[in-house]
Amino acid sequence: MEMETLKLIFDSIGVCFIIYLIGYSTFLFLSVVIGATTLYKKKMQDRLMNKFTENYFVPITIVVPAYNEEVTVVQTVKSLLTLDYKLYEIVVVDDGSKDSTSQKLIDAYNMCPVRRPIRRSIACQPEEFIYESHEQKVPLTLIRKKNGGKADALNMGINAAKYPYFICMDADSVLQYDSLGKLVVPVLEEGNVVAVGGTVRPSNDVELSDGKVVKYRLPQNILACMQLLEYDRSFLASRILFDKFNGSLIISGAFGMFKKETVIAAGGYDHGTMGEDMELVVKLHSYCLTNQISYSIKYATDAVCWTQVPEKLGDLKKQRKRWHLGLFQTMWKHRKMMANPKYGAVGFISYIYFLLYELLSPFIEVFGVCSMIFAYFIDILNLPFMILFMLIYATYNSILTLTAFFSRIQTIDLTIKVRDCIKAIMLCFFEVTTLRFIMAFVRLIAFKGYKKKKLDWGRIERKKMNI
Amino acid sequence: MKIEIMIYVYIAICISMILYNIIYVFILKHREKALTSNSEKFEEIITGEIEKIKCGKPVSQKHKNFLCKKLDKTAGITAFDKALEKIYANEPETTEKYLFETFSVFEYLTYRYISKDTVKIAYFPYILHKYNILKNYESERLTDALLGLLRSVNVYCRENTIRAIYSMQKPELVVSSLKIIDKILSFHHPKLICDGLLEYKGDKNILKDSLFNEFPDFSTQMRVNILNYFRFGNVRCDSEMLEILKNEKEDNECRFSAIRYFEKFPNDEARPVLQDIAENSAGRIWEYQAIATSSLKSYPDDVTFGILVKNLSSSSWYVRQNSAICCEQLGYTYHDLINVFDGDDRYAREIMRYYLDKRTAEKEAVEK
Repeated sequence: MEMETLKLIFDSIGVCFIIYLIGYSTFLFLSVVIGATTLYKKKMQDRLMNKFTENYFVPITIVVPAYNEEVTVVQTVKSLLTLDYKLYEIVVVDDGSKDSTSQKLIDAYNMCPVRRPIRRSIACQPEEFIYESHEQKVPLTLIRKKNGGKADALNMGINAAKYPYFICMDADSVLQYDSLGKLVVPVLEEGNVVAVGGTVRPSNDVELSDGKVVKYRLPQNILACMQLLEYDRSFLASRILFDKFNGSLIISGAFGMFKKETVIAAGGYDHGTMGEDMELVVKLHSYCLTNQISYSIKYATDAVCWTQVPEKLGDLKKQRKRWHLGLFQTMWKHRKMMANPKYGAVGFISYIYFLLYELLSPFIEVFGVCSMIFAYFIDILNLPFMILFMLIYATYNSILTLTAFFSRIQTIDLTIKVRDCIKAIMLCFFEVTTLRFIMAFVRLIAFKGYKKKKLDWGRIERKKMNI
Repeated sequence: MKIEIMIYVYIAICISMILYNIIYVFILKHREKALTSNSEKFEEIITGEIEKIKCGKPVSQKHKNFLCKKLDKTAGITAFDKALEKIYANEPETTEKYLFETFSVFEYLTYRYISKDTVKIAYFPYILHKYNILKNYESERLTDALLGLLRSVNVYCRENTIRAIYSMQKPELVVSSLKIIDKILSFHHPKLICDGLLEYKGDKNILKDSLFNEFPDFSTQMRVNILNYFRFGNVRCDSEMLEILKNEKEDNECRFSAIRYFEKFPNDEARPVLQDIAENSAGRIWEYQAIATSSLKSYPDDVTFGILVKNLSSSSWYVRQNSAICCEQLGYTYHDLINVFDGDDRYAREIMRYYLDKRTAEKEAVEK
């Protein structure tokens, strides 16, 4: 191939890559600015009593799907029992654990076996036994069922739920004491809310007591700390921005509330995907828009759930592969939504964004970097200029990440030490340049062995939390 | 476009974002300090005026003018609130006298606030409600202004305003408020209405009469909210509820509320109607039978027992479940329900067994 042709090809790649980067940086800028402004506005609204001054209790069922969670399940339930909310029940679904998850719970809460009939509104694997406790401040139910995956466990929980709204959460997460009260606010504000997502924050090294933060500091583990910055960016950025036009495609499986009736009508969680949380939200969009049902999917910025993030690269890789496969499965399953006028902004903006900047981003990013390396070797790359450009781009991303991080800290009344501020400033550049690229590569190879992992719970190492 | 321009744009954005962060931290810190310092000043000034009141002197016009000027601004009214909260906790009676004497200030401020942004407006009725400022006043102009605020698109503005109106303890105003909320296009959650009415401290029977006088003018949803309020607020209105219960043309939701009312307040006249609804599902939607079956726990007799046993075998899950709950709450035992346990209906057996076992477990838990 002649040099001229090669140069033309690389110029074209360069132009496409730059357009892609401009697209992403514009999105990031818009979303961080809108996100930060929304948080500051919310703080002002709270100060001016634009909030419900009385407690209004919407009945909620908390569904906790658990698989081999003997280390954390008792603590998780303990934290749920201290929530500052009156009208809720807890349903723990043990998805055929191989460890003593059920037994730990039965012993800890003195639970009794019951023969409770459960109405199967959504298909799921059969139950093996059911235990209830009548000694707690709210009803506590344990359902042990045949293994069927997380989605199946959640469906069982929905079937057993007594109340009109249910919350799904992970067995290794802790809900902040006021999280339920905050999560129902969008339901009281608007009549047609079918789902509300909460904010998930890494709990590594955070001390919690009765669901309240006693001591807040950044995780000591560098990997966990970088994930914290990443969480703040994504929760502040995309979720608030998409919320503005009812275009949220993700409600984290770690903390989200759904209207039971609508979820059942839409068919519940999909057993066949790894990203059952995202799939459900996309399905709700599709179901409501297809059936012309007025609906909204909201994001409650101040409803907080604390969760452990992986501290080992191996665990993080497993988690991210799983998320990426889930994303792919969901996007593929609902591909009819792409740029389809019937689905409005969800099809045109949210779907396209997730396709280009989430699903295809590892391919585009890795391809872009490989192209640069190749171009360098054939001596058609202006290396000093490219390094300068990438440095500025990384700085830009880092500053926006820090804006997201500090906006969150300032608006949720958490205080951090100067040492932690410096740590965040130093690590954000590393997160943007290194972790992001490693994760891009991990997501790129996520499809390897994907059929084997279909119903895998995606285990990561658990440790007891400071609660 | 030259790539250099893009680089400059990125640099400019980076610098502006850094400035944005710094300025915002500064604003938040300054605002907090200013609030503390202003509230301390307010505390000193108000305490001085309260001392004058204690000596039998009126609040000076100068102080009223000062309040009119300061409370017109958000920073001023928040500092005033913080100061007054502290003073009110120590001396509630004299603080009320102080607020009584400065009522003209709040009347003036009402007109100032209604033209502000809805987020700022919402704070004003909150203050009126918090310190019960409107309790002993007759001011048509002020009430008109407050009623106008109920048309706001901001739910918090409406909610704070209606609470301020409830604190006036005037039934006719409550009715007018509910009518306004009923007509606006913005969504106002039924729970806010029902739970809000429970905050009404005036004579509930007079309020009940006023609400029933205008009852047909309300929408179905608002009628249900009102009926639910009577039930939750223990406001007895048996004759009106009976009328609704018996009226086949009445809206379903209102009749459901009436059934639930008679579950809470048993009534001999309602008994045959409820038993009939629980027994005969023909021509009615299934919810009637499910809710009426639940209500039978307040009407124990042989007829009820027969209906409950029959409903244990209903094709509707909810009827079956409510029937089982009812049997358990009425204290029926395995012996009483022997026909169910010896019968062919597995669903009836399973659900009944579950509730009876649950009762035993709950008793044991209490005994422990």
